[in-house]
Amino acid sequence: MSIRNKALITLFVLQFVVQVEAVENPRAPDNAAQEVGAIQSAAEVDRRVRSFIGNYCVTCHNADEQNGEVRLDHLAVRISNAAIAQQWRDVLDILNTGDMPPKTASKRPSQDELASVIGTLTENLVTAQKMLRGKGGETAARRLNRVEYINSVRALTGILIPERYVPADENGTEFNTLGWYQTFSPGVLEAYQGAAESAVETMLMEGRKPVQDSRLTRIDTPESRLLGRDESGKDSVRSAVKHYISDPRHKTGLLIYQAEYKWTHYKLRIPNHDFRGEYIVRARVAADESMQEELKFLRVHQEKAAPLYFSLHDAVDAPKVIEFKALADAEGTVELSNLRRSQLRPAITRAMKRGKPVPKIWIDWIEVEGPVYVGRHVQLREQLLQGVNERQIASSDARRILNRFAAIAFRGSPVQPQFIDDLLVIFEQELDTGKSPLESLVKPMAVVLTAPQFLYLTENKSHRSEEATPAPLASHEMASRLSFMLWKEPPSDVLLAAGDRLLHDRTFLESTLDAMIADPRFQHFIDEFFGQWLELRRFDEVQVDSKSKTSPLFDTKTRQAVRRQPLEFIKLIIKEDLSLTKLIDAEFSVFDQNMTGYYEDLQPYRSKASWNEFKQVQLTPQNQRRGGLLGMPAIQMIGSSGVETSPVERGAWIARTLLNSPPPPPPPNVPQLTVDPKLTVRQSLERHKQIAQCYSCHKKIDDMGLALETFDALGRWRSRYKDGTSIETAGHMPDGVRFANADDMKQRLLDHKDSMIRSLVEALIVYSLSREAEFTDQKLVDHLVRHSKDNGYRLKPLLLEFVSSKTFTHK
Amino acid sequence: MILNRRHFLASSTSLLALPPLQVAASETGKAPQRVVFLGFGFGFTEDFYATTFGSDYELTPSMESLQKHKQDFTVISNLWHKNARGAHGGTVVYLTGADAHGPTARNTVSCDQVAARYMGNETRYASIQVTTREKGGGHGGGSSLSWHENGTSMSGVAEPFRMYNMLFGGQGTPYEQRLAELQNEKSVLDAYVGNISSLNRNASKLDRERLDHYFQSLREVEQRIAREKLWARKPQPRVDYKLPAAELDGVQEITAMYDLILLAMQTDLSRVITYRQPIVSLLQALDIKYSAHAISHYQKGEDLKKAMIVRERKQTELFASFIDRLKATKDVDGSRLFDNCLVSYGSNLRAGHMLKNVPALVTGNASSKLRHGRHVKMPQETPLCNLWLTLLQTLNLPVKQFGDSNGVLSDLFA
Repeated sequence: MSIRNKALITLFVLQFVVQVEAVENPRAPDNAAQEVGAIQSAAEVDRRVRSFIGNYCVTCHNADEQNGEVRLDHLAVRISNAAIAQQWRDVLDILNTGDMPPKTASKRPSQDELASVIGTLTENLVTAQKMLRGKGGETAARRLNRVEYINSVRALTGILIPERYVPADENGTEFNTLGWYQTFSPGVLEAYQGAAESAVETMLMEGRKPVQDSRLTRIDTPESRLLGRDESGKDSVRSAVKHYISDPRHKTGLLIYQAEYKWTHYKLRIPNHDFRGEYIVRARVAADESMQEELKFLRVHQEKAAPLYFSLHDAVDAPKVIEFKALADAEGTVELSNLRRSQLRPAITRAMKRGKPVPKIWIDWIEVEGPVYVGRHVQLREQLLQGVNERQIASSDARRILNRFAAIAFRGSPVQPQFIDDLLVIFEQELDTGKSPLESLVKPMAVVLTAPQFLYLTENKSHRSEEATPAPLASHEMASRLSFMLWKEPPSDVLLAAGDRLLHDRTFLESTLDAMIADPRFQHFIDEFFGQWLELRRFDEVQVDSKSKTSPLFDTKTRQAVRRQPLEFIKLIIKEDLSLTKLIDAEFSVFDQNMTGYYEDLQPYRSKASWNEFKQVQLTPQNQRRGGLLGMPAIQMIGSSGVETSPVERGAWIARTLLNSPPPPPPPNVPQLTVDPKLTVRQSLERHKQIAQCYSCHKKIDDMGLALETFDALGRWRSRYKDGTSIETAGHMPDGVRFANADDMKQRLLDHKDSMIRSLVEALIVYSLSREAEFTDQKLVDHLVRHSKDNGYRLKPLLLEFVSSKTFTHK
Repeated sequence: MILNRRHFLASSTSLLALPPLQVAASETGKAPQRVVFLGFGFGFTEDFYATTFGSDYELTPSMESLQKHKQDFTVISNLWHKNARGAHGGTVVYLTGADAHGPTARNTVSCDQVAARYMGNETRYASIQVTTREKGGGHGGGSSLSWHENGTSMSGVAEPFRMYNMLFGGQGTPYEQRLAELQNEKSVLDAYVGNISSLNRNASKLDRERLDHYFQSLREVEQRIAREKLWARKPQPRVDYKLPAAELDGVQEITAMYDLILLAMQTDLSRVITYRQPIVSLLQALDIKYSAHAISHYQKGEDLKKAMIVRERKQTELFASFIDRLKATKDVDGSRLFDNCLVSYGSNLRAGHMLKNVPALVTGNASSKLRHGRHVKMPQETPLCNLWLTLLQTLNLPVKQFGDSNGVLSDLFA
């Protein structure tokens, strides 16, 4: 095998003389010593690589002799352009595949030397690539992501579009606020058009003035449930109805059967329904004693939100009142149902046929309160159509309506008269096809909601052409950055009205930030920012077979609870203004009863946990292993296939998230180790040591992952493997410090807590500025880490320091 | 980057450059040539690959379903894209061979689009991109296997029922009505395009790069409308095939897509087709509980390997029955559709993280030059682009070079 592309090599050799561009290591040496993830100093990298190349490569690849037309004696170690990067990638590839130095060479490197130089070269390349990708800190235009689009349309029209209508984010492993991964296609445009049309149509056709006072409607004994059922000729239906009537409680409420398909759910029609509104629903509910314990739940299914589960364990003897926020579907309904278990169905059908009682949920009454409006422009329809005859919209009126709509939707970007002319043509054409004037507005208005001025987040960059230095944000741009970062929606009127004070008045900014953090919409920041920083996307990809013997009853609600736990923990830390280092280890955690029920070692906390919310629980000393993120099943499952644990994935997660030292991507063309069933997990991974190409990276991650082997693929505690063999948890940190087990490792990770803060800060830059964290950001990152340390590692001061930094307030 | 309306339209018209409609192929009596590129992520297990070469090579158990076609396809070893650097890069450069890895990298044109330049002028669709939108199927970025000249991804049709509607769904729409519909679509497009001009002033270079995908989509819509107008008078072909259901499992989905690809060729709606195949839904249909990525690292355990083998066998079986159907389907001139096709089947990955010696299989008799029935061993690290160039040239297209090609695979010829 030869190194490719000799043209490039020649080019490089010519360039080399004039292009030795020093890339200064931006990190201060004291930081480098302190942080595991710190890059080796440039001089050290240079020395190591040169000595390796000098010892093993230049004999054949020098000025006089260029085997394979490759010359290495002149190759600059500092990578200052793409061509040099390309050369080193070639060298690295060939070292990784083991083709060079040749087996026949008289002098060959030891495994240690090879592992070390591969590690150094890989890091050097990753670092250089990051630098070469830099865009001078520019926050470029990007498309609204899914949640932002939904929230933006809602803020404008009051209509909540179901998630599935909106094109999914394609971000993969990156933050979904990064623009560079986004592609666009006619299909995507079509999907946005469909979503926008449905929102606009609902808004226009709703036709009603928003209800001024929300109303309370009580639905007692909804016997309508039986209407129409008994007239069907089918025997099965008739017997089911008979059975239903045989329970006297049907007269005073409604019954939800367990596992009998005709009665397993109840569609609640929201009275007084307005699509722009939310509703509070209360219901008085009881469960039959005979229901299986793990099925004593009422499930609320809503098209536009995740399902809710209400425990009825305390509602067996006396009914209890539950309450939830409802978002009705297109038909104005919300579904109340049982937890279904198809395995139970035959037994229950049999019991029904014999006229025996069947476990049921009984709902005494339901109360619906609402609508409550969300969004600033609930009155938009009225504003747009004021003084207009809806049945006969004149062209001049349509122009005014469209112009006004676009002006609001475009968030300050100017609306060209030509654009409105074009929209008017669409309106007229729609009229010609026989649609009503209102219907004819739908399409042109949907064009507005799919135009780049609405669909993309942009900032005025007119300064970019003349000067290279960043310009201060306009006040509405600052409001927008804050709002999309913390709330995932366009800035509110209050934020916009704040004007320059957001930029120049730190006390004002601080109180604004406090208010935004206290607002329920801050949940978006926890879900989106922390959810992505923790890589919960990987959790979502882990498939668990709840029917399999190894993972029984790991059902949707357990899964939902497991996913929620780390975010609830973070929420608590922010609310209590505690140190973020609690993420590494804490003497408390948060559980709900789904978790205390599923995880045996958590059962002692059962009495303290609730079914419907996560509560803070003080951990007993022997359960300290459940403290911090690493004690949480969600994080343990990120490093598992759902069946087997993956110590490598777990170790890599720790390296990325807690040590800010992401392992480089696996090199191509290196064969994978084949698992030998005779070897233990640790023995299998030990084989990495024998292969230099593997060991250069795996030595930094494998041990940390192996320390977590006491948690199985679903995060259940185990003191031994299933076959009885013991679990060896001792190992070394990437910096060589020894630990005995996971608890001990957490203490060692606390020694590097600044690294975790650094990881969080860099993620914050990426997330909120929609760009990579670049080399030019390192000063800010250093400063924020120091500032955070001085302020007890609390999130609020960190956020304030960040959003008042020049990087955040300039474009 | 085009930011004013006149410029936009001028440019997209020039891209259109649609030659006058020639006499339909069916009237000349001779069936046209077609080319199909099938691609998927994650490769196969090492067990999939035949270890003997020449014309009496042995098929592996994973390839068993191809046994009856053994004389009618060629397996080629030792191909790779030297520019494909990341094992996690997906199928993005599979048909392009571009170096999309570097900091300023952009993809380049895919070989099917080069073919469409010459073979796409006489059909309703210059090319058809069949695709999947599933996450975790190992495809990486982009919307399909096909990439424009300017390196942006081409959109594809991902659901069989949409594909059906696109190909045959306009049945019975009168010409005037269709024309009016297209006019309405055109008005919407005009509004989008007109609006773009106001974006120019305050955008930076990077901003404009970001918006380029959006503009490219508008261009695609415009070309489609223009082309459809030209074809509106010609009724869509009638076929004896039912509208596929919206909810299909992976096996049904791939089968339906193969059917529709076949019908599209038979009715001469297009002569150039790519298909980015789903893996995730296939696994679900096969009741495999692991993720596609998990089983691609099948070296980690016997269960993973078993699952991977189940997948590769089923996938190959579906491909084999596609060949069955190609052979059983009559073309316009009475010959077999198989005799007028070139079909390529493969992945960007061999197994695990191996980017070298990727799977490559070619079938179809569209070119008499190819001598099938062999396992051809090329020298190590032969550019995969040489295969793409070879396919283009055997279709008699005037293409001298493609991607990083450095020659044709003359070993494939008789």
